[in-house]
Amino acid sequence: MPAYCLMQSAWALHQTSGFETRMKSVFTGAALLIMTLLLMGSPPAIGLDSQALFERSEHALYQIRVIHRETGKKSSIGSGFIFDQPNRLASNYHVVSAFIEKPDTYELRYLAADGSEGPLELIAVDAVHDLAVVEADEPLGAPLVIGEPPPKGASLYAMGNPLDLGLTIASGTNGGVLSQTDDSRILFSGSLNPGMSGGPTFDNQGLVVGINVSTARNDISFIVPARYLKPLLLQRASSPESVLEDVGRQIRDYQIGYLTRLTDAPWPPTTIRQMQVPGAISPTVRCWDASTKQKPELLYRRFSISCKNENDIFLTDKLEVGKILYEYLWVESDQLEPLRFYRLYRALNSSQFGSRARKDDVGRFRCDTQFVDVNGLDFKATICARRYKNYPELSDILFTAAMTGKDDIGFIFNLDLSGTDFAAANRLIARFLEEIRWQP
Amino acid sequence: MAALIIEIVHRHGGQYYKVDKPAVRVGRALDNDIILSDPSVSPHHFIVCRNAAGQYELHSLADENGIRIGRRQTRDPILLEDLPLVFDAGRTRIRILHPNHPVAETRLISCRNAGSCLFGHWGWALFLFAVLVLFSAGDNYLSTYETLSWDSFWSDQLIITSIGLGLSIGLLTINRITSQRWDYPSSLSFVSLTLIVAFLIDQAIPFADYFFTSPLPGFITGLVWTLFLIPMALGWFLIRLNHGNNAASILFIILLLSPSAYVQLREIINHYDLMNDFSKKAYYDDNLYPWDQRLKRTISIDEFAQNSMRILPTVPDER
Repeated sequence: MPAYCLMQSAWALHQTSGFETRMKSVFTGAALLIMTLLLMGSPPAIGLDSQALFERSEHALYQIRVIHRETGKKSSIGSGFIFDQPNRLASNYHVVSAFIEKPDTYELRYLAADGSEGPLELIAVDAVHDLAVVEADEPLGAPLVIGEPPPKGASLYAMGNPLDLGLTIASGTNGGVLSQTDDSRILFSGSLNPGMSGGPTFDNQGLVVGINVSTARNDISFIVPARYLKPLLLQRASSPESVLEDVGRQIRDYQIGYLTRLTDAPWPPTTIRQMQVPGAISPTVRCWDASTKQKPELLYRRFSISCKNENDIFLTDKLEVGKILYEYLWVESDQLEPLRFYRLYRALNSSQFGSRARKDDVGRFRCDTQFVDVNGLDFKATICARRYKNYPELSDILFTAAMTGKDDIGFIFNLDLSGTDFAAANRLIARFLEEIRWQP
Repeated sequence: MAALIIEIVHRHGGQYYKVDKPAVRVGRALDNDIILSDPSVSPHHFIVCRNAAGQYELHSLADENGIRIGRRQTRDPILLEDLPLVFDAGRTRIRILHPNHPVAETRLISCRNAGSCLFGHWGWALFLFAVLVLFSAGDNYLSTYETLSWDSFWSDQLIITSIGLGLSIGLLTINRITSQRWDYPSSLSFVSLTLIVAFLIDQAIPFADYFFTSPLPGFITGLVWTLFLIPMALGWFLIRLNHGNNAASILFIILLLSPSAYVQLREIINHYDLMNDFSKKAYYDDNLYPWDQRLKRTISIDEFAQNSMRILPTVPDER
């Protein structure tokens, strides 16, 4: 799933300034208004239309601002709504993540539609589902009511504060729960824009069924089912530092569960030439052919299958974790001599971990290389891992294994896991190796 | 013992004449003591002669293109006190040296010295260069995975061959600077032989790395090659074989090899993360070799899983 989060950073706001910014804002606002008006022309057969929903709920929506303590200016903004108690707001984890990472640099504040504002205290987060609960020091209004998503195809209405232009509502339909995201995302056909993160998504009865979270543009947007908010009521963070620890533990626990489910589930096999290998090991995983175009002048043939999950978890504004990416590469030749073939094979055996992690985020990779018996075939296997500095429960893992002992056939299996539990990942790797079989 | 030495500087080195009589005349005419064949030199161009006080002086005799010291032309007699004196007679560079000034030794070209034999003849030079072209073509062939064509093979081969020639010309220039000699066969032989050995090592390292399942053999060989073998060989070539100036030769060796040594040390530091606690890239032994000969035994999947857990210590649940 493209993870284009809807939190709007001050940096992004400043990329366009002056007249250009104002004109863009006016056009975007006008587009949203026209779209809203058009959609208002076809209200749901039963229940509330978008105008009624907007009027009924606007009092419960607030802008959540991450303010730099030194400059007093907003660094990023998102939306939030009153939830559970009159002074509590629900929003996204990624809206408040800058504050969690650097509580000495930032503070959280709310801004109401009438211009009133005040400080917020972080109560709880669910990093896995990208949710957060914050609390004001005075009552803000009546809480909105949580409900279950309506059937696929039913109308949904997302509210929020796009591009810092003011409160608005966007209509669309429920595209159903995404199996690729471990049931944690609902596809929404409305248009979500930066700044709407953390806003509520209503059904036509006025119940909050989801929280706006991300978009892939072109009216392909994603919301988190609102039911995931309920467990957050049981938490109460003692300090921002303890939230940081919670985030690491939550992701680790989720990853252990997720990887264990994957490891224990039956895997559909697929084949790549003479090798039987695991196919898509979960509904969260999609596999694609990644073979390069076969040119007539090439003296070898190369086939490749690439699989990855769409279950990314936001960790920081530059880092998402929970990625599983694996690929099989088969190369064969009846025209290259062994020494020549192995030059090619060696050049292809150069897997690297794709990540935007920087030195503040992760430590160094430690690697171990062994020769492993994989169902009667010898593989040169390497596992590398590096730990996250702020979240030592989490590791990036690179695994690569290349078949040895054949003069004209090569097979390479690569697996990358980002921000996960090392032991659980190790078990998954062992399961993969057990499932790789030569088919004579 | 001579009172002075006159050196006629040529591209291939110098010709030296002892001044052991009261006057020595230099010019193009046959009746001179030293005859120069340069058409820009006058028939009787200059004379070095002893004055009444017994000191030597330089007198210009030329009608045109007289004596130039630097860019200044002079017709006045010059007392030869501060030596060496460097001046131009026409287009010929002349040096007047102190009688005990060291004169560069002659390089051996005789095959009596086996080491020198390879570096003194065009025959050896061309043979070694041909072997280099053959080796590089073999290496290029092993790295070409499509039908041989201009784009896939021959253009690369032309580049590799040009690099070999370019390096030999580079070494020729260095040799000229350090030892005042233009001697292309020796430079071509040296570069060809060095690159042949490099190609051979390049073939052996992947096998060694695979055999030990470690990049260490490659790292060690690379470092020994760059920091020890190449400097020794270059030093022998420039200083021992060609009698080059020590300081200039050592300076060139350091300048030439520093970038390569830096890259290799950097690779080792990155591989073992000796300098920081962050790695963007995972450094591991990705070497594969057709003959599956190795020290490490094959282990089971379970054993591999157990071993893997050692690379990251378990994090306690409570921080």
